Amino acid sequence: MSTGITTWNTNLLDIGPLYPFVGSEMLLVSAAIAVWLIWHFLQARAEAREAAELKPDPLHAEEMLQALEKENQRT
Amino acid sequence: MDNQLEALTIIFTETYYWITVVLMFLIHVGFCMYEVGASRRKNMLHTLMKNTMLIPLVTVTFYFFGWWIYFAFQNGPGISGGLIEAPWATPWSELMGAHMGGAPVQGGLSGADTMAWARVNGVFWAAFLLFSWTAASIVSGAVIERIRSGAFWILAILIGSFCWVLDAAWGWSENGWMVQKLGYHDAYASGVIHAIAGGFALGVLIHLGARIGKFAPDGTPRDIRPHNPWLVTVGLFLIYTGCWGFYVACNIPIIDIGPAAGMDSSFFSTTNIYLTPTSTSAITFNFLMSLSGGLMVGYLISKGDPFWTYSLGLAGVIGASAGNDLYHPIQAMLIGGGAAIVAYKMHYWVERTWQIDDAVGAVAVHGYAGFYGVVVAGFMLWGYPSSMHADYAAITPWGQLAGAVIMFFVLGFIPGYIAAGILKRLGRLRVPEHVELAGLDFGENAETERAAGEILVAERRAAEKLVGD
Repeated sequence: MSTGITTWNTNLLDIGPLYPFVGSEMLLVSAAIAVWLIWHFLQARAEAREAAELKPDPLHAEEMLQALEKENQRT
Repeated sequence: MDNQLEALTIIFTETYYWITVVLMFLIHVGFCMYEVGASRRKNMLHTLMKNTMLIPLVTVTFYFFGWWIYFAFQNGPGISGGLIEAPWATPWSELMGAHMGGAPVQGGLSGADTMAWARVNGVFWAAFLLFSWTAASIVSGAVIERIRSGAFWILAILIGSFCWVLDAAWGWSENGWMVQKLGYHDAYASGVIHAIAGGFALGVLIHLGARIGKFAPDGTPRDIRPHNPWLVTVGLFLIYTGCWGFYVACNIPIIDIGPAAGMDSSFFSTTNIYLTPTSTSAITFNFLMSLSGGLMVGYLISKGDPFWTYSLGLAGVIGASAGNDLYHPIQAMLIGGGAAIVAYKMHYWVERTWQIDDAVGAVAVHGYAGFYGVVVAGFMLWGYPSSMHADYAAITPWGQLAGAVIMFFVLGFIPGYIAAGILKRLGRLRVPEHVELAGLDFGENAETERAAGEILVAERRAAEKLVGD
């Protein structure tokens, strides 16, 4: 069985693609596009969930800002 | 390759572009440092990851369709011809992978295609891709501290893998319709990268709005200082360094232009992207002199403010870039100085007039200076041929003005404005107000605050014990 090149002892001027599974390019592109789109979907879902988990709490935010400000002053 | 001279030329070209890619990588490192330094502590990690993750997203989409658009859309299509076939640039092409240049396996490719593209397709693709990252990264700086990451990444793909590539097809290729019809000349991308990215950022900023507290109720802008000016300036130094790669990546290192000039003999030269003659020495003179013009004027006009001095040095380079293949070095210096004035004055005028919160001055340094650079080249290079093709339009002020408008407004501002408007309507553009208040690193910030509180209590107890003893 061979996934691509079988020998280098040949006329090198005749060699074209070097990668294995020549002929599967369209399948690879389709899979990669699916991965890309799914990534955006998962990221958007995670981003919305994280933002929702942080409750709108102005007092808590104010405390946080004060603490950060103090920390900034110290450094 | 069975001819040593031919092999040397091809492998030199391949290596040349590879080195430009490595140098241009520094631009992105610089942008990340710059943005993180310019953001406040509570937003640092979000700012870093927002810019970092555009790398894979723009890369894969540029592989899927960006590279093909560059070749296929040079006629518009429909302005100077139809859609152009570019079988070496489709993502399923055998030439979009490791290839030795032998006879093609796939239909649609010729032996000439494999000979021409087997060795240089990857490095040429990557050189363009690094421009894509830069275009997206310019937008990234303007929108820090309040944009949702997911929204930014969609916008990054739009500018990095579509809008700028389309403008490169039109105005930054030997046979682009803007070169043919308008005589458009933009050798080192004043318009095709900088003006378009600045215009795009402005379109996004209008919908995004200002950071909380940036403007007083009467509209007076407040200065939100970088949390780490040192990081900002080192970042800008790295961007300067990466620009060396950017400049040489805009050239073809060695090509025979004798036949195109009508000569009976060969004439090997470095050329710009339009295949008209220049030299690496010429652009080295002009890069440094335009940088110097920008820095000198920037220092004076900003009264020695480090953030603006560095940024306006960059504006100097950007303002002269359209014609830096042909200018005299002192012309480049003066034009660079003018770009610094335009960028600085326009930034504050736009900020005051429309309350646009451009956090790092990206619209000014890239957008306004880039627009200015394209227009100035029209006057400075008036009558120069835009191409080796005698029937293409010559460079003119009106051709360049039209080109600058296409770059900044048509392909930059309008797509950015529309896309950001859609994201805003979907409620996906800006983080909720309570997240912005807590800081976009809110998860990490909560941990820091908890730890700081615990340390404070421990310190108080230790102090009480000391006093008690």
